[in-house]
Amino acid sequence: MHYDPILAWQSMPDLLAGTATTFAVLLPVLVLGLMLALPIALARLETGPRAKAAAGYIAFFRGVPSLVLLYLVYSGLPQLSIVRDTFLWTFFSNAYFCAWVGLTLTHSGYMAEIIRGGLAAVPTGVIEASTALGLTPRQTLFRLRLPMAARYVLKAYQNELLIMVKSTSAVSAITLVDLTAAANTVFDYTYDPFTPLVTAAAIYWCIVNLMRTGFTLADRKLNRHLART
Amino acid sequence: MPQMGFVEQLGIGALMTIQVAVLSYLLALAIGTVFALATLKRRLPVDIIWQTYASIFTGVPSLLVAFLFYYAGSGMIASLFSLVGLSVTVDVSPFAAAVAALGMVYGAYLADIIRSAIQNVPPGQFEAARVLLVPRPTAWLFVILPQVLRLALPAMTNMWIVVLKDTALISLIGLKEIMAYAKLASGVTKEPFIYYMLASVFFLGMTALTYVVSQRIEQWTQRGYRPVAAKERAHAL
Amino acid sequence: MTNAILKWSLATAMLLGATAMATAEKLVLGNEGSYPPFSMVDASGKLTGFEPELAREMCKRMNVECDIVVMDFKGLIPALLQNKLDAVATQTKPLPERKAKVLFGRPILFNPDSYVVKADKDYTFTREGMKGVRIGLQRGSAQAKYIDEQFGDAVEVVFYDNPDQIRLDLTSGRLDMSLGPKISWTNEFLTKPQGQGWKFAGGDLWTGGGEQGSSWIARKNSQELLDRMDKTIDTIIADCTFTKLRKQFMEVELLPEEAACR
Repeated sequence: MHYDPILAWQSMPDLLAGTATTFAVLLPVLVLGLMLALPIALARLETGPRAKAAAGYIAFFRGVPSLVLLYLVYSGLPQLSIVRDTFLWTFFSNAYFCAWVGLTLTHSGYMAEIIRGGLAAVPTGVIEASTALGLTPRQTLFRLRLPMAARYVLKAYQNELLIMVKSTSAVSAITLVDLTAAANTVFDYTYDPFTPLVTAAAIYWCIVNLMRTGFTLADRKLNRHLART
Repeated sequence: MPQMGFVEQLGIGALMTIQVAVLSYLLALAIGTVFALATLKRRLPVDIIWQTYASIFTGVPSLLVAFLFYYAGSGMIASLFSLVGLSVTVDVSPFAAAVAALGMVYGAYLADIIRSAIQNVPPGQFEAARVLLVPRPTAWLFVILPQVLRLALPAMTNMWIVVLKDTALISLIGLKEIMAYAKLASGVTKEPFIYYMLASVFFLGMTALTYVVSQRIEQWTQRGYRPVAAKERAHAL
Repeated sequence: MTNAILKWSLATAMLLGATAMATAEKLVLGNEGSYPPFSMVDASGKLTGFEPELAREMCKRMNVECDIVVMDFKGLIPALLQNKLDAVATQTKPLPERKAKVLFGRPILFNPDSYVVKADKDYTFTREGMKGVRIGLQRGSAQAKYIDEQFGDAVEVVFYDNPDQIRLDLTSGRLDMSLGPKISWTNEFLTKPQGQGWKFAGGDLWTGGGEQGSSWIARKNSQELLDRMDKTIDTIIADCTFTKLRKQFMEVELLPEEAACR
């Protein structure tokens, strides 16, 4: 097994196209997952039936592998006539839509847990003070609690984000050609497994480390007040 | 309705999933412990090896590592051994590739967990053991390790769930575990929904089981431990 | 004393028996497993279909013990090249780049391809006529290469690991068409309820890079094994066992030699 730099260079356009697909799947998932996770996290912090429902949601979507969810959404849902014969089909017939739905559900489960942990770590004194000063609950949430929670959970969010980047390789199972699938396609045509897979691994490594550097910079900026000597 | 024959196959696949997950986790524990112990003190050569290993195996999807091991594994091993002049052909089965890939990737994560747990054991414990002339192996086995277990257990349980779920993804390299059988059954019967739901039930069941078992183990590791922060008691016993 | 002699002879007998079994020749064959009616896995997990049955008959006549391993089509040739398989018992078309890497045996069948399209649609199979069409193809297949050469970027190709997955997406409307062997698609799709409303189009195509038959394959260093397999298959065809096996799974004749067995 030796590395073939010529093949690596020739297959770059295909691999980069796969990388574009990976990001096309990843970015909407991050945004939608966050938006979906916030109400779930807030519900989880309350008491009563809503909290139980939120806890159930989190437990389900953290307990089921993302691959199963992707298959369920892509192959399983079209079996139900309510999906196949209505306007919903314009959405679910598209593999990208199915990937976004499946991965967002998984991501939101983890994000809800992370946000909940962050919100719980905000000192209650701050919240009491803001209520005393006349801020509405919504203002307290968005201007005080969430920004403070963000600082606490930066490390956890970084972990989750990096895991999400690597989880996108699951979408190759529902016909999307992401970076992993693109490397496999090159392998299918050339019968050389080593070169395309190692090149794809190198590209993933660069993406992950760029993100890590970004987070280190963000951490330095957000937590400067905790000056470490 | 699911055909019972295919449900049986799902069951066989589920057993395979558990086998792969358990073996991978044990391998990851072994690799993690070795690296954790090796990197306790800051020595440059060890640090370089560790940083490279961790960087590679946490920066690349486990699926890609599994593909690489399965398709290029025999070739890589042969090239490695030919460097020393030996001609070796090792057949890498999907099972072996899966266990190796998951073990090496999650070994990197477990090393961090175990090392930070060791570093969080109160230094007084090490000192007391030394002062009482407890031989080092005994000190590690009976004094330090139980406390490491107590500190690391929540994170280790989390890792176990992650490994179990990643096994599902690894089915894409051709490993005949529960996801592969579900996909096969859904292709033949044209009824994907029920089979994937059954697979979900399996994973949820395993998660619930893990939760129950880990609660028990956590109680066991906490026996005799009372945190010093309690105001009424000034001593740790 | 006699007790000891008895134990030792028993042990030696078992050892000789074990070595005798171990020296029985063993072959690892690769098969696709999800290409009905040529290969499929039934509800009890047993690999069945025309090609596995033919392989089992061939191994019986060759006096070897065969282990048939199931894997996706695209993985068969790489596994063969890496010595995970001794031979591949799935019909493969002799494309030039495949012939450069492996040896092809005698043709097992002649199975032309055809486009599978919706019954009420007509397509002109040119670059312009196929613009924007979503076509489902199998990874690593000769049809995939053919479409790439004929239409390039004009069509939108979606890759799948096996034909069952392609059929699922055709019926749910995610694909406009597919290109595949007529026999399998007739048996598994057009004659089944989910295939109502679909038809063949574009005539018979031979996508085998100029040659028409599909064969089983072996590595370049296994010429002797391949010759043995070919000779055995010749005898199976000659005494009409081939036709008998074939009739269990499909009506269409696969080889011109079968005419003698009508």
